Amino acid sequence: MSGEWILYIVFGATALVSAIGVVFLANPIHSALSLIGALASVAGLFLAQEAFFLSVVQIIVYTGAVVVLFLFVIMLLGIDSADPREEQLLRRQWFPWAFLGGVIGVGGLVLTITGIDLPFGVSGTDTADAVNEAGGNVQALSERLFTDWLLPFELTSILVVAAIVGGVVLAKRTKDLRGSGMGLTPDLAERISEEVEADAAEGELDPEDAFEADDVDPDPDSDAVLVGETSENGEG
Amino acid sequence: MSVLAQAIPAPQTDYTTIIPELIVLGTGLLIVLMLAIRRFSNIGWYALIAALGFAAAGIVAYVDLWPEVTDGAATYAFSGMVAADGFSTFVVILSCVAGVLAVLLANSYLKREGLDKAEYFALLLFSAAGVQFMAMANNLVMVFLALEILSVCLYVLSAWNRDKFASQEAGMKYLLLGAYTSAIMLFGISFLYGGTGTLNIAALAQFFARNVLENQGLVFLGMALVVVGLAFKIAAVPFHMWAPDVYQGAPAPVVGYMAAAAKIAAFAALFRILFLGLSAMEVDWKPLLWGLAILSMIVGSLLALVQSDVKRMMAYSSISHAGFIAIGVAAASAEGMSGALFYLVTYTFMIAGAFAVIDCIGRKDEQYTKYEDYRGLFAREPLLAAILTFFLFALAGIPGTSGFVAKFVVFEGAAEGGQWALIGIGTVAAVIALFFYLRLIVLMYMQDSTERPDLAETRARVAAGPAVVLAVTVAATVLLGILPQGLLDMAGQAVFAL
Amino acid sequence: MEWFEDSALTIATFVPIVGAIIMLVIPKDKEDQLKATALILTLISLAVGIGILFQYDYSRAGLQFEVDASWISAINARYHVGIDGISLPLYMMTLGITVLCVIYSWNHFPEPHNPKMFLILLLILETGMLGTFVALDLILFFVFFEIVLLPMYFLIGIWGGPNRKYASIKFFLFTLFGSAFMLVSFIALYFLAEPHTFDIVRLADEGLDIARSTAVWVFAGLFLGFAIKVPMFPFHTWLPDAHTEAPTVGSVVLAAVLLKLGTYGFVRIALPILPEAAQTWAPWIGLLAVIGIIYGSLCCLAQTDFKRLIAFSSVGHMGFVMLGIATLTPTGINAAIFGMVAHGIVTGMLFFVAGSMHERYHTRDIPRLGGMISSIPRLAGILVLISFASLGLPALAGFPGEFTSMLAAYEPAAGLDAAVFRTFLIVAAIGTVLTAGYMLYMLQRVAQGPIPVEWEGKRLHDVNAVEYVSWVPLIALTVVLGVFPGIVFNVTNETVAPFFSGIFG
Repeated sequence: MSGEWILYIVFGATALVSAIGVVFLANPIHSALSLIGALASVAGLFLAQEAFFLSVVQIIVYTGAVVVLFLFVIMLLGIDSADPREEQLLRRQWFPWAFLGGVIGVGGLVLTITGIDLPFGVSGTDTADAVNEAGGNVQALSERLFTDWLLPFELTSILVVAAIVGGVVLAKRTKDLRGSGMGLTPDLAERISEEVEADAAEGELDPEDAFEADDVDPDPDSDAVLVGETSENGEG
Repeated sequence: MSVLAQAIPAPQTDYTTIIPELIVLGTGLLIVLMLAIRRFSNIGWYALIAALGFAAAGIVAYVDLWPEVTDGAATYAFSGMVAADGFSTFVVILSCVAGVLAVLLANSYLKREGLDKAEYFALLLFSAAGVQFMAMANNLVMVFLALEILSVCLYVLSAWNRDKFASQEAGMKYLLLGAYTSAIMLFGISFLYGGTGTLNIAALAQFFARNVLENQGLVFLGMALVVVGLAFKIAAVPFHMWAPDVYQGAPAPVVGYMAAAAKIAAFAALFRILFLGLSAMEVDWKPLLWGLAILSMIVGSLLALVQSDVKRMMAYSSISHAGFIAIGVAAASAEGMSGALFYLVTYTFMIAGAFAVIDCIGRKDEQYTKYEDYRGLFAREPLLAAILTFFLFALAGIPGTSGFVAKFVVFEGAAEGGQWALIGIGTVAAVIALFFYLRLIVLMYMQDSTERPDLAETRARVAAGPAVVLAVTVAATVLLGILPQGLLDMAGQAVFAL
Repeated sequence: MEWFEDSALTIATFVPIVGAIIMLVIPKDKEDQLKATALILTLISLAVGIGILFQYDYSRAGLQFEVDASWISAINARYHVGIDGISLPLYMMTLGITVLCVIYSWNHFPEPHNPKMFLILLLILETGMLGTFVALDLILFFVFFEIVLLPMYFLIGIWGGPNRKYASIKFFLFTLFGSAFMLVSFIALYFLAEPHTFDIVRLADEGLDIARSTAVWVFAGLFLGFAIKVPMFPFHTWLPDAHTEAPTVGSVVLAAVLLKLGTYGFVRIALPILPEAAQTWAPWIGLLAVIGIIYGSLCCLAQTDFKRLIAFSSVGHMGFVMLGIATLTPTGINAAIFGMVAHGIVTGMLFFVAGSMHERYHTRDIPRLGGMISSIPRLAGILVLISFASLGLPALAGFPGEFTSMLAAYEPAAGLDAAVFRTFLIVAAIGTVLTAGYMLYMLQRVAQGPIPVEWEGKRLHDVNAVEYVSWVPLIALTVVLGVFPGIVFNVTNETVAPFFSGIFG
């Protein structure tokens, strides 16, 4: 049983378990953290294949940027953190995942920069030979990317542009939906304003305050301004 | 530093082969850039730019590339990433036509619904580029990328009317299921790579020509998963679940475009991968396509019978049409595929025209799309009712319309291969299909809407864009029904060179 | 007259559809202009048809006025038209009946009125019917054959009676179901022929080198398509509904021409191209034909709706036609063509009368009618005359076809079991008695007797001018064809005798 095989089993298993966790955990924060685990494990799998650069990119881009963005959005949408025990739980939970990601990331980075071969692995295959010939992971990848794979590389940018444009268009609110966030339908908005008005009629609260305090509102006004600005900028 | 100084070989770039795609993409980017600088209050300008972009790309493809590619073998460009041949050029031209129709349809819709954001046209252009690259892709990764470009744009366009819950639901469903099947397809591509060591479609064929696999399991699994991924895009049964909800919820002009564009792209890729790449495995993939074709035709037709919403009914009808087109591809012959290409052209026109009518009748918010709302339509809107009837008959394949010729040519392809059972089932499905189209026609002509005074209050307005689309699509459907020879020749040329 | 030879059929066939397009641009409220346009164009078409009648070489067998041009070369479909003794009588009948229909509908437009659309549909219908009779390419034939469906569907569905939706859909689906399988058979014929061709003439001349079992299956598809259109028992169930609900003109065209498309298909396509399979199928076709004769007659006896009664009588009459075809002899096929023409004229006329009666009485319920001879004697007289023609009285048009067809059943083509067909002959003869029975029973209830209390003292208009104009030609033909059946037989036999004796020897 080679070292690669052992790494494959270990990281494959964690990837699978945390992927299942992403789907089944009830708390969105937990899901997002579990996602970090899954992505970090995939980075580990890359590592086992001596694809150090990919492994690092995986950590930096997915774990570092994408999931953090997810968490950011979840927080913005207002995770209910009134329960202190919940917070405790969160603090304890994210630690192992962060640790795993950190170790793999730093390890990959070191290996990439130093170019050390792992004592086991895939040398002897075509890919490994090509990597050695080019003088390392980064060099081999970049050479391929900017010669044979130039067109797909450029097209990826189109894909990203399309996705950004689409995302911005869908996320940007229309004028008449006051203070609503993404995914707030007119029905829902109507219901909210009806409730607000009903409350106001009962003389409990001033409509403005009621709106902010309303449980149904997923996006308090203060945050909404922030999101609004980002999307304006993103579009520019 | 020494590493940096070391020259890498210059990439092989042959931009002349992808001029139409560059024009389409460039127009899309131009619109995005223009939006960043200054927004025109009237999106008509952007529509004009988009339409011009499509037209220019189509004309370049026809005038410049078509004569070249039809004489000789395929030219491979960008290190074999794309192939320019008759087939891809045909699809490129078709996608440009579909694009122009979509732009014309969308302009008035967006204004009417107050959704007038010019990004719509940028996404339309990008999606068309996705279709075009999918037809040209000679590399499985290119297929995947192009498919994703197309899909991402379609997800967003489906959810365009985001004040409407159904539209949001459509976008979301399409996105989730689409992403899922994209993953499956990617999985399949990786198996194909693992089994053959190449992602290049032409090289796949060479691999099979040189090697005999002892165990085909890996390659077969990869092929099957790729077929599943593409079958999802064409909404073939059993991968059709998304279609009814998306068709019902998405804006009518989007559906009129999407139904055709997604089918064009996915069938083009299916043909290229299966017929050109994996022709050695014909015995393995033919039954898959037969199964898809038979299930799609029967299930699509049967479920369409029990619908009560016109857009939903059209979704099931489009599923059954996917089955018919699959017959042509499953024939695994040049005749079959040129038949399928012809079918796709006629379908592009018919579906754009049908949804143009559905859009006009739906009016603001597309509130009138139920069967009940079509009651007595002929008395209220004789012209629209007549046009819709015409398209329904064309979709059903009544002689004298292009739908008949299309069904005929795919059947002919199947007959060439002796697949009489497939033709028999297709015939039964066509008759069932006629029944659900007739149901709608009966409502329009033979019932009155006296108990629905709300319908009589406003008349449907046909704006200039949809009017042009209707004129063009009706003319094309009649013309291709009576004198289809020119297009059949083109479709033949597109495929026979391979 | 070279140009006339080349273009006469094309002109006569397509003039109506050109008229339909012209009428599209005439405003809806200019009714007189619309009617005049329709009449003039159908008359032009008829005039060209009469020109063909004069130019036609009656001493020659085979096709005349042939045009064979490229159409969709990718699938080898050609624009091949031509006319011979089989199609000439039917073609002329179609031209004539349509003119009469336009005249009759002059002030008889049923609800919801809309003469524009009504006449446009009628003209499209005419092109479809005419095209079917002259098409010599399977695809061209199929296109015309199907084009007929659409206008008729709308005529029934929009201008029909209370149950029109059900009737029109049933009509459409039944016929389309059959023709879909017919199309599959056409495709099969194409691929079975070497070299591949859709040309009816070449398919028939060169014959197909295929196994009998294959041929039998291909014939089955054709049979389904044509038999439903005829309609033969047990595929006839759409006919009574369609006839009952259709507006008068629709019924007339349906009875006079549409049903003939099926029988014509047998004579033109199924028998010549697949003679061996035809021999296998002939006894079964004959059996269904005589069942149709008896069944149709028995159903007639039980009807109380006047139009439904005529519709069931059509099932019986078409049974005689199919019996003639099933004998596979030139005599039988001559009889069949004569039967088609006669049935077209007689039953078409009966439906005209039924329509006019309905207009006067606002009911078709036979028990409520009566005493027509006393109240509206001229209409009653016409009804009696036509009914006698329908029941097969000698010296009227109904007789020669049925008689000859039974004659042919006595001596069917070689290879067919004469005993079986003689049995059919006996059954068919019983059918004629039943036919006479229900017709006379109907006349007794409708025409004779005292005027029922319901209609006493009510003024009912007798036949008016428009009706006379549109009916006189048909009445005249009923008598002329009965007295001189040779007019038709001579034309048909010149083609049929050499052709079919060549095939079935």
